[in-house]
Amino acid sequence: MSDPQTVGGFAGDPTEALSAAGASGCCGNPPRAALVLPESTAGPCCGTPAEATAESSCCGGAAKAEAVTAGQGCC
Amino acid sequence: MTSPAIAPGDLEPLLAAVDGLRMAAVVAGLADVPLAGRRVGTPGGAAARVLLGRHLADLGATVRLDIFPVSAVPEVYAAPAVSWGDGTSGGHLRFGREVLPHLASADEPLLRRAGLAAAGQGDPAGCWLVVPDRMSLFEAYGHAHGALGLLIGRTVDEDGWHYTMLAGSAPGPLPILTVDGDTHALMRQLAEARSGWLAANAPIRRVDVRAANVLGRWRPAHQGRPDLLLTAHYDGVGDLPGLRQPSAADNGSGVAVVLEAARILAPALPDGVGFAVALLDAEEVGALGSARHAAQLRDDDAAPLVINIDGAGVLREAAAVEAGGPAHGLLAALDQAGRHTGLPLAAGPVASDNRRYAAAGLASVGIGAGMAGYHSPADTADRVEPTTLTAVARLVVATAWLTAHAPATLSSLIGDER
Repeated sequence: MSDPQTVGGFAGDPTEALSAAGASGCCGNPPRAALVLPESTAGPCCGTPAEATAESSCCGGAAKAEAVTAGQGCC
Repeated sequence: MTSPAIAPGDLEPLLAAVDGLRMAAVVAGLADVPLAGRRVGTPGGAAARVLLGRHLADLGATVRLDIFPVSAVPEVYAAPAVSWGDGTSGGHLRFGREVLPHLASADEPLLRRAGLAAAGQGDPAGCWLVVPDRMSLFEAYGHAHGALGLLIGRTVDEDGWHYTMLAGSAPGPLPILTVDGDTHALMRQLAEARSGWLAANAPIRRVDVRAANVLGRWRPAHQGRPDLLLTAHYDGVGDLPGLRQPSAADNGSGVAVVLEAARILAPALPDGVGFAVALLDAEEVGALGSARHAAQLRDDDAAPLVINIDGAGVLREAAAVEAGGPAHGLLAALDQAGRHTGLPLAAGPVASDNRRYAAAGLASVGIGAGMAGYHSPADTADRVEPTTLTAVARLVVATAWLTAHAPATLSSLIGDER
């Protein structure tokens, strides 16, 4: 059996994962069915809109790489 | 819904069976030379799905391929030849490290030599135009009348590589090269002084290809019982000419986790619980494989609980979890599984195939544990940690097991406490 002192699982409310994405993303469609999301920031999934615009990409490349490296996957 | 009695400890033998070295071997196979980075529509991608189809069949699944067309996949078909200088000296830029054709580039196979000009400063006609860091590509086009092409600065990764991107901009009217930040700054100085030159081509084209999802099912769900679907994309960004890009962590690691979880779960799940795996193609060009599969599920009125893995290479503080659709029960099971296996979880964006299933109204979670060498030649098998593979596979096994036994139960069946 598990050790009750383990530190796994969500540190906070697991349902926060339902609003992790925002309403836009560089891969896949924005979640829109049966899912209540916070107001869209109209931003890219990684980095700032300015970075994405400057790179003519869906994401800021450097921020995206940092997010992926940190385990916040980005397509 | 009723939950069968569970003997404490039933889960433990399953978790103990998770084999990190077995998964590492799968990653190494997917990252190997013949598969060439598994870009959608390539022989390497086709070889990968043969390998994966056999693997699923060996695990007892009924396997089918779902083939579909994908248009306009970017392909750098030759290493660009790029040299530049200030009139008295010059040098070549290294492909992949210092220069890469931009995703929005027009195809320019021929070497074009011209002076450097700075966008927004003077007449650009006949010049290579250096675009300032904060100027958008759209804005740069407005300054580019008559220019030979554009030069855009882009940050390289910690290993010194440009990122390869396949999803994003459509090709525009001009050749465009991305240049590393230091070189770009020097070019801009020369461009502003009108004293530099550059000779380059931009060999990038768009190809229409066939993709295929590899779908394996062990059994359907009985009425009122959960239907579990494990997913991971097997396509990668693919090798570049002369540059291997093994795509080991992204997403050989996710595929390895799914296969290992399937090996353990398929014979162990209770009767009546549906179980299937989808190994998806064309994620790197916009999650097209999952879009297709999700639509098929919706058309069939199927409602599987989807667990998608994208990146199980290097675990740092926590694995990121993004959920969509009616996933509260799945999240509760995931949380409980995380506590049971000791894997910390954090809500965070996982922009991967899970979004397609969520968009179709299905309960889905995407899990990403991090990776090294993202979309570059540095995404090699030796950088995928077996301990991370093991941690994520144990999480998936525990989540599936809990969901299968108590899909609507939020309290712990296995005695875990915060």
